[in-house]
Amino acid sequence: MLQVNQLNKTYQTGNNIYPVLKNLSFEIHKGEFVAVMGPSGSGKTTLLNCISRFIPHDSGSILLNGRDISNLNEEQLSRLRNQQLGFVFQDFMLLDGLTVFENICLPQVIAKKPIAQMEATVKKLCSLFGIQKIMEKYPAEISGGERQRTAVARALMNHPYIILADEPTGNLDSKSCKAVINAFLQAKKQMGATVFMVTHDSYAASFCDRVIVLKDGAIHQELTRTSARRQFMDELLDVLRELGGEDDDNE
Amino acid sequence: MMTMNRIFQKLRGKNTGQYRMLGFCVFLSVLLISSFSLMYFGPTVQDFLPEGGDTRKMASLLLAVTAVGCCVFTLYASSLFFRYKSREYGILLALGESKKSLGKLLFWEVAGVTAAATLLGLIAALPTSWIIWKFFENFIISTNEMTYRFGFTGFLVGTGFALLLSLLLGLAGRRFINQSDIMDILKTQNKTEMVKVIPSWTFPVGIVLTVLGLLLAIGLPSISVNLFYQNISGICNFFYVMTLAGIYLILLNIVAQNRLGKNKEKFYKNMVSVSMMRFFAKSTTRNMCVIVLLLFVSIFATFYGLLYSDSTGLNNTENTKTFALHFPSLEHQITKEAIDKTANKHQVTVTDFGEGEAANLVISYKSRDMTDQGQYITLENEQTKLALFLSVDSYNSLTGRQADVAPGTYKTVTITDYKENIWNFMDGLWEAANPVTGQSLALSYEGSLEYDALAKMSDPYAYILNNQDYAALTDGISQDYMEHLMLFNTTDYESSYLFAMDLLDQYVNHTTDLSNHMGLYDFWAEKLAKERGEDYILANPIDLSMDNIMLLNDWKYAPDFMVVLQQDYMQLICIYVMLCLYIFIISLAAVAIMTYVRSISIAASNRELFVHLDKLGAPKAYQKRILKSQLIKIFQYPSVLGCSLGLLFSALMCWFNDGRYTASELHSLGILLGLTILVFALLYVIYRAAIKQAEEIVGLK
Repeated sequence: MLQVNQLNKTYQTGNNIYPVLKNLSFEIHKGEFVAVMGPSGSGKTTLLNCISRFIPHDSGSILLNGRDISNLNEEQLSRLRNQQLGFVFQDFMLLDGLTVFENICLPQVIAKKPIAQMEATVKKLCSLFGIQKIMEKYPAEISGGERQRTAVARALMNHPYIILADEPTGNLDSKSCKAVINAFLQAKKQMGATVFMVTHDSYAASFCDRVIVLKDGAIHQELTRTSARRQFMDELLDVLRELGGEDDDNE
Repeated sequence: MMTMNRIFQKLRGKNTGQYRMLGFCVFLSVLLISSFSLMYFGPTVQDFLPEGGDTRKMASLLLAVTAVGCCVFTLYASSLFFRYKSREYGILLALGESKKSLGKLLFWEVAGVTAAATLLGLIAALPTSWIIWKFFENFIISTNEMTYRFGFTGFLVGTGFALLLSLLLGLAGRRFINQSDIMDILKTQNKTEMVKVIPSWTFPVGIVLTVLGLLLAIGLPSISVNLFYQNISGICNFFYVMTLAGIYLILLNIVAQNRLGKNKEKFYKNMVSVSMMRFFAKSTTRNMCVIVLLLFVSIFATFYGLLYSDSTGLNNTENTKTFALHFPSLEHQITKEAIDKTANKHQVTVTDFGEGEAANLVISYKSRDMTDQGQYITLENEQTKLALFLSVDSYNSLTGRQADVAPGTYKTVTITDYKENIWNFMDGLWEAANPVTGQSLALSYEGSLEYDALAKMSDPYAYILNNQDYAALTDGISQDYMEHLMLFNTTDYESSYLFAMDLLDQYVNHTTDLSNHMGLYDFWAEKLAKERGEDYILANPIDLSMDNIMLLNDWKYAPDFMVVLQQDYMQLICIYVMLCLYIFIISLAAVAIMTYVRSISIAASNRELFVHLDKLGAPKAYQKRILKSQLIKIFQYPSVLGCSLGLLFSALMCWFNDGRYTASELHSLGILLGLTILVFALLYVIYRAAIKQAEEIVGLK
């Protein structure tokens, strides 16, 4: 589904050049739920931004469903983001002036899809994520967990190839965090969604099929879940401890 | 039905405040410029202002400054509008909406707001200009010439300005769309402006540059003229750049300088608030500079208006009589009987009537001129023109005073409180001659006498001679060179307007070609030009009719009726004061909007800082103090700097104009000081509103 080959990215501040991603290569398969973890400065968020094409990379290729998305023009990028990628942000990025229902509609409204089909899909997604009761409410009137589930529903509206989630549980309490992870799991199970999530939260990552651990812009280790979730979480914590403490998202 | 249009409609509904603010700024700009244009390009003002004169140039310049001011604050308001839009657009871009369709949408939204606001502004301009006109009419005696008349040109100018504004807003919108970057909007990458350390010397150096620049730009030309007789005002304008650099340094220091020095307590107290603007130091400083300049413009425009409105000289009856006439003796003009008769008709009592003769004699005198190279040169003019001479007896009978002039000397008649300028010398006359016989007499200066009505009758001055000298010099003179003078008062000159106009009408009706000459016409100079076979440039006659509202401004034998002149003058100053008032209002409106918008921008940019402070356990009171201490800088420093510079500039202009402060200048400066306090009060109100909004933005409410 997603193939990243020899990806390189540097940042320049004044005369100083900092390599952030170094020859990064990996693959994510259809229906997989993959997390990226790593200490501060390891390049997690930069990787996500490169894949989503929010920022350009220096060299290497990114293939989505076999198609290289590195050299798309403005219009093609818009279509890519609307049709093939779904986004979930740490701070939800919902439009405050629209209700939950309307926010979820947005990707299909932009794509000019038939109304009846769109409304049916929204209702289905709301019911799937348990937010049907708050459909007419505005973002300011609902909880953080509900907002993020709304964002997940919105990301799934156009049946994207992959959902890119940037610290989706970063602003949530543990109960809300669980609800959001459940939403991803349900999306995977019932809709066959592929999820690529950047997180610093070992608990959230422990629900994933696979975890890519980055260090200094390169893959330090890849862990595939073969055991029970709790055991997988212990494995993750061990690796992170080895890397030198807790990570964060300040990249 | 969920469509894109409905979504945008909902979003507009949510952000009506932003649309209202943009609309209001466009409305205000169009209203101010259109009402200004309606007044300025209306037939009343256009008929009144001399063709190609300085007044027109100045008024056009003021209109241009006003238009620039309006554009600045409207564009500034649009930047806030776009800022609010950026989050919506960022999310939509991330969800796959194309820049092209968002650009199209933004165009229609901005075009809709602009069109509606422009239309309202144009419609409201007419009653606004009429109301302002009526307000000023209260200060003048209303005449037919000063009735408000509608002129279509004003609307054309207003519409032209609206189109320009729409174009600028369109360009700003286009720039916004082109620069919209999802990363900036989604804040996943911290974008920081590298800040160099601002050295502490910037503040004192800034102060020195600012003050020195002003002193040199204003003072040096005056010093150069008086000491070296060289005009260098063009070069000296360069020193204003010094002042600008100084203002920039002062503000840069204030915005970003906070280093751990001796006062550690102050450093730690301000540490957080200074950090709020540090990453925007350059743009904030530039913004403050514009605010300083706008305040400077508003203060100076007011001062300019005040100087024009100074009519103290016109009200001073100490050294004059309120009615004065002088005309060629050969002219069969109105007589004392006609004056008395007219006075009776208008129930006015004529008092202090004095009548006498004066002779136009050829003078040899010193004067000063400027060469094309800007060099001042002193000229010794030998028998090149005429000036009016009175005998002591004639002077005494006309004025009712007792003058004494020794043989072989003269006294120069000046206006009250006269200060010699660079061009003329009160003691410059050295010889007078009879234009018919050629009989001349060397004369020396004995002093001056102040008498307004007589001083205005002759250029460069009128002179008083000893009776014997006067008799000797006028022996054999023809009546062509003689003038008849009449001076008198009325019991209440302020209520003698109708009498004065009646008298003026009669005077004009009695006038023949003998008196039909421009203000600076000289019979002798024309004769010399003819002898040399040249054309005399001041030979053209003028339009001698009561319909010519410029009649009294450029007529050699114009009657000096104080009540009429005051009326004319008041009309002129009303126009000036109105124009200056407009500049003041517009500059202040621009300042108000810019300071408000900047405050909101800073609050919005630092929203996260307050979240962090909250997490760090900072009490609300502490957070509020930080916000206030930062925002107040945007108001406090530019307002103090801008107003002080305006005051300093005005004070320096007065001083270097003639090396002194007249009572009216001091009075004007006093009013300006009061006005500065009002400006501070207004900015305080804006500050309160900005703080309220900013607290809401950063979640302190």
